[in-house]
Amino acid sequence: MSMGRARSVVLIGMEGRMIEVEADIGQTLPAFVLLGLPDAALRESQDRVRSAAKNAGVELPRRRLTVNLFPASLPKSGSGLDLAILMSAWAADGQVEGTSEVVFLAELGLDGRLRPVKGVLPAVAAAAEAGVGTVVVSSLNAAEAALVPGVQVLAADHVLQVAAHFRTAKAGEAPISHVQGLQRLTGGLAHHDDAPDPPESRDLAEVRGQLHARFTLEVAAAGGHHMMLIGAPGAGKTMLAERLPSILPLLDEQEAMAATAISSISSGATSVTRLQRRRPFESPHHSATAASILGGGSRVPAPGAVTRAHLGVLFLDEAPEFQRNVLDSLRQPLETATITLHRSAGHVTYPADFQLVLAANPCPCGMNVKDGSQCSCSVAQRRNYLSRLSGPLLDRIDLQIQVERPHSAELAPAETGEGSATVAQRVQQARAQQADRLAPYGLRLNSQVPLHLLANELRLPRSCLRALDTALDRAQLSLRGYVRVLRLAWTLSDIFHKDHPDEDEIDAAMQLRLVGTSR
Amino acid sequence: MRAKDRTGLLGEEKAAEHLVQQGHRILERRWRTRAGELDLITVDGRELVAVEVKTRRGIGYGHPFEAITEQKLLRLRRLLNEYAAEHRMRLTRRRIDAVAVILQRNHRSTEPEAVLEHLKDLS
Repeated sequence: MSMGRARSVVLIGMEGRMIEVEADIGQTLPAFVLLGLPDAALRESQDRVRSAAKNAGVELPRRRLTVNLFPASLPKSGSGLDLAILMSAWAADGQVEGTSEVVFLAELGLDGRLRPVKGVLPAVAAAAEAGVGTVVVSSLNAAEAALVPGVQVLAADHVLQVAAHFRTAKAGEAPISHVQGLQRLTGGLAHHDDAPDPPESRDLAEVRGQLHARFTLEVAAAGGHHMMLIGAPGAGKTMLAERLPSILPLLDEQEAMAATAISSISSGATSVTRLQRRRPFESPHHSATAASILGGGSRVPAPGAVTRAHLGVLFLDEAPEFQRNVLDSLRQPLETATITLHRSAGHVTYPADFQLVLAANPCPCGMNVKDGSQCSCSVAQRRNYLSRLSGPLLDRIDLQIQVERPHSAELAPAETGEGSATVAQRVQQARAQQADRLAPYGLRLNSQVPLHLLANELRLPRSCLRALDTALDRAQLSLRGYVRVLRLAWTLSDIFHKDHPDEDEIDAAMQLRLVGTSR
Repeated sequence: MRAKDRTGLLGEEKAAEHLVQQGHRILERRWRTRAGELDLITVDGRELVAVEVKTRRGIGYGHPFEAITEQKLLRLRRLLNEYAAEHRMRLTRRRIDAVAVILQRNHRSTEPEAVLEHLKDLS
């Protein structure tokens, strides 16, 4: 029978879908028919496949070649199907066999070399989930594919190596027989030589003074609270924010898989060789568009900064300078920890569980600090500047603090603060404590705790809440602000290893919120 | 006679030999009208067949079959209908075949060696 089969995977967003590639060689005039909603890049694979086969020396028959991509209704894109198409065609011609239960993921060069493709990690993970045991990739993707446990990875530089591996008895001809074999890797075993991530170059010890801000950073890390830093230019807002990932706990196995899969689909094809344990830090420039922050592009949209910051930190420096619609579009991912993008070709959902850090000057000139005597802005300018950040957005930010310029006394060389490692340890402990407490409710962090939980199961004694209730009654605090103060208070009590917050923690939590702009 | 025409004639001869061996009865060679030419018209069983013969010396300029385009097929079909009408074979079943002849020069003899491929019932 002149039919051949091979498998591959296409990615719709982060989700890998198994594709069955069928090839049929008909007895009519030479033609290449590709069925099953291929896009432009995929349609071009016809020419790559034919040329690659010819230049590899195992030419495809000069007949009508019909290639069907199943399921036909799923729109397919990208060049990763090249190898699967060629293998199915060779199988139809009787050159190779045993390809129907193997996933092939590589682009072909015109000379037959295998080129790496994007998104190999999520694709191989999808294949493993679908029960496929063997995956063939380009050598440059081998390490990435081998991150998936329980998968047999075959890696090659040239399509002839793949052909030799699967060749039939009939096809023992010259070009195939004397090529070197495939590189074999078993998925999940590479972790042994998994060198630890290079030490974070940004350490909290480099921050001089700023005790208040350092503590706030620790609270943010411990409870996963979003935070806003307001301060004059040069006060160290950016420096502090950049050091937040260094005190956050490393990603666990499952989280690392998710984070690495995201960098696999969004970065260059060869950069992923091991699991990423360190939390990502994304700091888009304030000229960024909504599409670049949220994800966008025609057909199936590519992930944006909110997704690349998944499980890490999204830092918006000079936050009021961002377009207002960009800032407000962050509200949905902040609420649901995912971002769903709709396009004509369908919709995708990307994870977007990030910790938001905003930095802002207090006014356009940046000098409106202390008594504001150096500020050259008009009253209206000062008033309008921070109001560019909409109320609904600020409402979602638990921590809002002023960062003051360091004093000369704090710059004395002897005065180095705690290093990131020490702080990270405390953060880890605080997180463990809250995870224990919140596990029955399916939560992990204080920043996720909803009002009804705080009002019932986690209700505090009345005596502790007196100051807070007064503030609420005097309308110094909205109900939402009330909830936020309680969450912060719980985080503070976790840092201090207390069972529940007391008046002191409530008081401190109010301090961390009630700076100039908060409501 | 030019070299390319000689190649074509030689190819047609080889193709005709092959078809006769396959049981075809040859009705016409190079049947011409103002609209074009059919290389061979044969009868295979009960079917009237128009055969397009493509001859090449080597495949450096592509396989002979690749030179048969949609447009060309359309013309062949039209010509075959015309032939059938003229010869009162309107009700006979018709089909179009193609034969590729690749001539490879053999060192020993002056006669080039021919490799034939035959496709039946193009659609």
